[in-house]
Amino acid sequence: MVTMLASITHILPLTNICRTRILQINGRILARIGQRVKGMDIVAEAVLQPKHIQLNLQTVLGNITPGKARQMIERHLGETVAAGDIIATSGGFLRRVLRAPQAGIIDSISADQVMIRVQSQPYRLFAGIPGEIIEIIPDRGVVIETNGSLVQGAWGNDQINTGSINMATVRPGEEISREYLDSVTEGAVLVAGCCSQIDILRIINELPVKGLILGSMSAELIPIANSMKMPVIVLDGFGKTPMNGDAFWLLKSNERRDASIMALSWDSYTNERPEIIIELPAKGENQPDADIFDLGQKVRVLTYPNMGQIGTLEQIHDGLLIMPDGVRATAGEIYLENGEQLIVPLANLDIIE
Amino acid sequence: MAITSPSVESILALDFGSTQTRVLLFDVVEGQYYFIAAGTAPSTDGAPFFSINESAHHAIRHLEERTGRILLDDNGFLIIPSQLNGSGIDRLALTISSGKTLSVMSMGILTNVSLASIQKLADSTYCEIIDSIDMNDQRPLEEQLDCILRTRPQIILIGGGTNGGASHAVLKNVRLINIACRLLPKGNRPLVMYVGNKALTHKVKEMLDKSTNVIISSNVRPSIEKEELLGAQTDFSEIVGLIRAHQVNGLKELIKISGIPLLPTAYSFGRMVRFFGRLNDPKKKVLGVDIGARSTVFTIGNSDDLWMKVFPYGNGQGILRILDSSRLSDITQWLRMAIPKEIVRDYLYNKSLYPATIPMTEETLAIEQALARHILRLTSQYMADRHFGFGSSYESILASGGVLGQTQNPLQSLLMLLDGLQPIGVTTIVLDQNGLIAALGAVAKINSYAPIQILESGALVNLGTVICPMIKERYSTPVLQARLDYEEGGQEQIEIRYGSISVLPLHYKQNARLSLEPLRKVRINPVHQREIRSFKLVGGLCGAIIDARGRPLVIPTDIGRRRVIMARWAKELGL
Repeated sequence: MVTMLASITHILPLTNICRTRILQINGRILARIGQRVKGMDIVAEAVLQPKHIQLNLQTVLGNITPGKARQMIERHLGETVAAGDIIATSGGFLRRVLRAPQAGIIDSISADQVMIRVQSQPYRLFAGIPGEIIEIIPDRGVVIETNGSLVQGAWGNDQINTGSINMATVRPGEEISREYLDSVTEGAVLVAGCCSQIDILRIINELPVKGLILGSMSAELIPIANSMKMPVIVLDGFGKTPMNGDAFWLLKSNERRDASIMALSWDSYTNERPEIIIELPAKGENQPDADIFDLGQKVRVLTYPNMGQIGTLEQIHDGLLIMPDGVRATAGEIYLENGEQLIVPLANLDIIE
Repeated sequence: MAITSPSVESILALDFGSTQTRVLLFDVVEGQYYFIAAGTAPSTDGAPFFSINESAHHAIRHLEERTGRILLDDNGFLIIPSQLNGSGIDRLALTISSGKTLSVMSMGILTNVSLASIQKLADSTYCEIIDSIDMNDQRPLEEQLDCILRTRPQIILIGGGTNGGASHAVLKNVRLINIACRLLPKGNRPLVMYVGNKALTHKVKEMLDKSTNVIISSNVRPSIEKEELLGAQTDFSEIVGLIRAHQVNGLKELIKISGIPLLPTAYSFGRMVRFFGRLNDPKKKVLGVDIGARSTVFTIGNSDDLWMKVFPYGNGQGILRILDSSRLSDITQWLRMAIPKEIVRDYLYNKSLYPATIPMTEETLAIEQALARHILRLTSQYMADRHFGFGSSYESILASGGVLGQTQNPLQSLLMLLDGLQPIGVTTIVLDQNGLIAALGAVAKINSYAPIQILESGALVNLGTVICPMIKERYSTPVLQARLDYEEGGQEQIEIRYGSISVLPLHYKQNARLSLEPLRKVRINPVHQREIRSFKLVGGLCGAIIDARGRPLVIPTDIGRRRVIMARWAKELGL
């Protein structure tokens, strides 16, 4: 019997969710254990784009040896200075003074140079999901726990926001229409089967909506989706295929509820992927993130020609099967929800649970 | 050749790729090493496992199923050493290509000297130079400092100064690194590798040792005219291995079992290409190309030198970088069926999301093979522009990677390579269907005889000799008369027309002498001064081929004409 590792995409009505939110570099944690946070609360910050000013003593104090220059410096490492504070003095009859041009912190003192780190806008880390802070990772981030519905996606434009779920299409295979956009409510997160029109995205970008969730999207729209001022998540992939039924009907069942839209880039090294989390007042169980392919599992086809379709894995063939294009692969037979039967390489499936 | 090393040892080679983990078993049969079998499993160094243990375990179990040989004990641990009952293995070799691209900052003196050499050093593995600082950098010191703090490189490669030469500029850079390291948290400080003026090594270590890890390697520019990369490449590859061992759970334990350093797959591949280069005439070069999901390794070696670059182009996650720098039409020009460009674009972006997926239809297979051709074109043109000039000729071409190695028909692989690389002259094309070449580079560190014996045993697939003359004529003009004189007797004459690609009637391992008589102005071996028109051939898996389509290949932009011409080429090859 073939055993093959399978990745899992979660589409769950109720589950326990723990997410780690972490800075790229050491910074300041602004939350505490036990604190309840909302998705757009700031939990940590760090200076990712530091700015320094270099003060060269020789330019102000004259031609002096590095040893003498060092003696003239009146500040020490780590000291905070205000704009105009004296940094070094030449002494003597014609006293010359070097002052700090801006407020900052003395970061480095070498023979005849002083580096002052000036204030720069910190990067702010949002919670991303509502929940309770259950762990602090010193200087780096927090772990947040919640319970609710979870829908994982495949692509996101690296933005985060929260809003209320609004179904923009009635069926999973429908494309979002211009007519629907005329009546969009403020603060909505739009959910639609697919989108293939640049104009539609441009219009959505001008509306007071908080996010967009699509089953599929034409890859041609990626540049504009990346430039939109709201999170955009594509659940299944690129093209013009219906949203997978499990995700569509789950989101529909949560219509009007507040959802956190974390449209993060899928990065297997950080375990971040695009997710929609809808907090619910009930307790769920933890679910594993990986499994082995086995009979009876609900699986989703990841690529053409049946991208996004969900079925049950009914048989796993021993050995390698030859696909229509002549490629050999370990394959399984799946029965789709519409009754169709497919033979698909296991590498082209993930488990839905 | 019988084994002359003191002990007979079975060797397991594990390669951790970005999508697949592969395990290869080599063992001794009747006194000679052979490649026995391979096993694969999806890689698990990323989410959700964050450990290579699962993928290694599954790949080895797959190998067990294929060979019937027990390699893991009841607790799932490798059985080392091998047992009398045939279970277990004796030695383990490890290579890795998975992991995020390492961010590197380069610092040197002159852009065209030290920095250029440092760039080549960085090119040899899975890293990207995110910024460079040289003595002519116009940015004030505080901006250079802020650049290091903002970009937070994982490694700083610092060089400059010939041995006994410049020192002031080098030490200025070292001071800057020192300030930056002191301002960064311990966990974010870059590792520094010094490849400059040997006279300064003590001073560099002294200045930086307290603030970060410093590795001293050989000067990549011991003199202005001389560039020496080999020592630094070896050290750099070990550094990359150490970083990966630190980043990826489970690797440290395997490295302990292995007893030899973990090698980046690219470096190991390059080692073997250089070895192949040494087997030939010193003037002739060997080309090695390995297309992976995340990156493509392109390497050219001869007895003296190795030129190598790891490109961030692949047929999985690496698709995004290709699409950033290429037009879609550069890929679709290689399709011989009409597929709407929207479908091609959507498929490629999907493949970058799900890199482990396999094409299931003729159309999607055609898209992936068109992509492979474009990757070969991009990489070979880059190397030709910078190092060799257009129309490079190679003694042999070694090709590796799933998209090249796992085709329905070896002629498909051959055609992809000819279309993409467009070699000239006479060359032999060898296909590595199992990722052996890189693995053997690591195996060589355990037993230097093993790779030689494994190669001699025919583990790589000789697709055949390809003759690519330089011609420019009207389409379909007869340009060559080819005569095959078979060793066992008999003769065949074939007329070669311009624009054609012809399979010579030569069976696998059949010997013959090929004589070529030009009917028009033709250069058969453009890189050689003396034109050689008659030579011995041994038939490969695809026999022997004369590719008279001209260089560069002209692909019609009109889809109708393109389909006709590509269909003709496929038919001529018997596809």
